[in-house]
Amino acid sequence: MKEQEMKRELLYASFDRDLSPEEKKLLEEYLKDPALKAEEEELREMRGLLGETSWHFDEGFSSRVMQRLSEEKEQTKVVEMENTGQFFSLFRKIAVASIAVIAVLLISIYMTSGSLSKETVLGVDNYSEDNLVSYLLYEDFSE
Amino acid sequence: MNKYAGDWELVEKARTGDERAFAAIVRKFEPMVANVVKGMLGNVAEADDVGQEVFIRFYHSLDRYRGDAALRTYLTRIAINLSLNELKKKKRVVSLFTQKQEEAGYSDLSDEGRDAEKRDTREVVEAALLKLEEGFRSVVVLRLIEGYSTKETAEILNLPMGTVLSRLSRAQKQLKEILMNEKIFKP
Repeated sequence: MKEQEMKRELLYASFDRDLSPEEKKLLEEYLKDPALKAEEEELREMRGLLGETSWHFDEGFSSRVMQRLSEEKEQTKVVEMENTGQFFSLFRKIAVASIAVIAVLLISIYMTSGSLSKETVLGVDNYSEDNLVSYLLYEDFSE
Repeated sequence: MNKYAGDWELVEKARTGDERAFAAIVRKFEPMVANVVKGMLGNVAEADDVGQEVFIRFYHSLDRYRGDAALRTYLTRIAINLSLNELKKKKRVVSLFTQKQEEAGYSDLSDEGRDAEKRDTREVVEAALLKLEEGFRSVVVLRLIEGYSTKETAEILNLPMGTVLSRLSRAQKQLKEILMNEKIFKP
């Protein structure tokens, strides 16, 4: 801290707390500086004026805060419920669309092949569990 | 026993959803928040909203509050930051308002021949405070009105101690000048 700042800090501290004898002596020494002495006077006057300054909120402030908090909580609940509702609504739409696509697919398979057997659904002749993996991997058995 | 133990206990209870504990925090620190917010913004309607916002913000950050700083200091920091944000937001409106006040002769009461002694000194001091630059005002509010030490003021405002001290000194000179114009101080 620079010397001037140290002087000021000690001056301000003298208004806030009891200084130690060493500090008092040091401050007396510092106050020989007319600029600091003038600042001490200003500080004394200012503290006298500002010391009486205080503000307060209108009555019922804490109730207004608590009311606002409870409104916020309610709002959060509503938003959460709306989000959950939106999610279920979206899920329902996707589910209905998927069921419709599957139904159309099955109907078209039935209409072209006349059956809904595993072979016709998978589009594989002579289906067997053993070569299903090979079919799915498009392995060419013709060679 | 730590003098802030009671505050910590209230915070712990508020964290578990105890609304009465949180209301107790609001009641306890309401005067301090009012001093900071109204000292910075003036006695305007927005000050109440900003004051409420201080506690709402604190409520939402209850889980993050670790108790490293005293609750009073923590709330003061929120109050100062929100007040500075509000001042930025309202800068144009505030300057227009001040202009209107000046046009109405508010700042030059002596011209109307009104006796300064009859005026409410407190009101004039508050008005003088609002004429200070924001950086100076925040230092005066914290150091001279709220009684924080220079070190605490520096920490709250995130400034070096030297800056706080020099701002304080300049703010005092400015305030004195304003108050001399208002005939509260004699030259």
